[in-house]
Amino acid sequence: MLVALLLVWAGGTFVFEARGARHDWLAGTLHQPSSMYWRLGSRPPERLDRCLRSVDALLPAREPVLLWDPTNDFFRWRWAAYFLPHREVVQAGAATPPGRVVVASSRSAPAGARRVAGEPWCGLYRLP
Amino acid sequence: MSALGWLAAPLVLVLLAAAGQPIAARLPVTRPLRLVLGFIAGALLLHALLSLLDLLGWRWRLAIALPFLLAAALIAFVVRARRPSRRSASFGWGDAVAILAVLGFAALAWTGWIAIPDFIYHWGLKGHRFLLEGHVDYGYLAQPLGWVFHPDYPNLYPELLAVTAMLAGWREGALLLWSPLLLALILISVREVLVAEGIPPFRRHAVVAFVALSCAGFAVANIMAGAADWFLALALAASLPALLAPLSTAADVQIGLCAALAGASKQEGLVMAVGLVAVQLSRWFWHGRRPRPAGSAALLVPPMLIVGYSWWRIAQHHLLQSYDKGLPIPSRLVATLRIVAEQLLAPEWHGFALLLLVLPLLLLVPRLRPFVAVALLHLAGYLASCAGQDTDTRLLVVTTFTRIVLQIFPATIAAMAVALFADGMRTAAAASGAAEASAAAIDA
Repeated sequence: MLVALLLVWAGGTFVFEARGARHDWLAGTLHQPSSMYWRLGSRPPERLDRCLRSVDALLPAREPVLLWDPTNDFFRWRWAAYFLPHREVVQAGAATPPGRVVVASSRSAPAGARRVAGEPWCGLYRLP
Repeated sequence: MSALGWLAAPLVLVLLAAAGQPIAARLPVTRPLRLVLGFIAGALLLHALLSLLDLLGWRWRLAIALPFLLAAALIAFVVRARRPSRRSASFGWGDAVAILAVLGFAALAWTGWIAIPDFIYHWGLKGHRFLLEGHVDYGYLAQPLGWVFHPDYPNLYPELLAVTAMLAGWREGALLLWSPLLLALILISVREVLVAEGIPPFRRHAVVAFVALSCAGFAVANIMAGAADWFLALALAASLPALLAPLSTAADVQIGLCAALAGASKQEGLVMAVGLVAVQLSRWFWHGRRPRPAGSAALLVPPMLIVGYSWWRIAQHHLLQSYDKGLPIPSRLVATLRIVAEQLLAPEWHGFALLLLVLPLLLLVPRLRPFVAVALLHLAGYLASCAGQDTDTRLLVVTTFTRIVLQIFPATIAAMAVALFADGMRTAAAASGAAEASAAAIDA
């Protein structure tokens, strides 16, 4: 009897979890916007992937990628490293020396930074 | 995704299971369990091959790995080392439910939506890097920022990902299928131990279906596609038949393989490996006997080689991280125990983790004591590790304990079923006969 109850409970929980995951996947719903909760295939990491792929082609082979991120978002940095396994990915911020080229967008790039390649939404910007 | 993408992980699994048959086909177990043990032996062979290529400075290539594994598979047939297998049970409703649960998990794993973050930060990143470089990239692991991806972890899993990707390219959906496949192997192990113990079919089906649904439900809730914890759950579940069987060389072989797999998979697998070997040796000495030379070698050499190589590389490249050092502190141990008690009710397990509280009660069943000793040693190692790490203990336990539960859950449920439902006299007699047959088979 106990085994039967456990079995029914296990079946119910599996169906509950599977339906919930399928629903979230179809809707692309992230319950938290933070990069800590990003899922493979969700929009934020896909956008980051597209961005990194576009700038990857613009950089010499083996050159590290400096990801402009003054907020020091640890998880976003790790996702970026996953998308570029052939490169070193380094977080860039206020301490980054002037003149270095970083990956940023027109909205996130620091004041005075000049875009040297790529698109405004995701390009290579030279720090002032 | 192409058909090859879908099939890459299952193909590699079949290839590894075939490559392990020179060992597994000599064991007096059922055919399904031979598949499981063959996979374990094959995965260890692959790990050994890739490590050897690293030592020689040769690039990993499918043109090397594939013929090597095929040659190993052919050996089992050419030398006709196959022994008669023990009878398994016929397919039933519990197996059908288990297949449905595995397929459900696989379908969601393929989407990537339930990929564990560790696949991104850690296992997948390393696997992809190693694939591109054609070797374990110790320079990459040893970089100052390398602490973020646990450079001191063993590399069997990233290697498996790299070899799978050699077949069909780096496609997460295909690579994440390893987790449901490992769940399937775990369920086969659970099923076969119940068969060996003579548990009546209806109860056996109910237990197999329960383990399948509870583990698959947890896998979806805790986003476990791509996790390495499945390897440890497999190592423990596959060792259970040998821990229950009378002492024999065949049992030593099985436990040696499972210990090596545990040691090659994760850092905490080292504790499981040591526990498995120590408990099996203790069983021999407790009975006033000594393992045969072949049994001693099979029990000790694979785990020692795997763990020794891994730690030699860690020392060579200074990979051991500060957060993995340290002795347990009583105050942290108390905090760990308190948070562990909370986490037994973690929603991802829907209350099933509480079943682990039965573990100490299983000590009342003499035949289960070796298994309980291994499981408790593993838990004790986890508690000591949490109490030894100078970090946020709450965060550490909350992010890891539910996965530790997975590592011992399937085998524990199987052991509980043995305690409750097994026909002790019949299975003891059957096991004794099998042990004698196995000793003859292995020594022949």
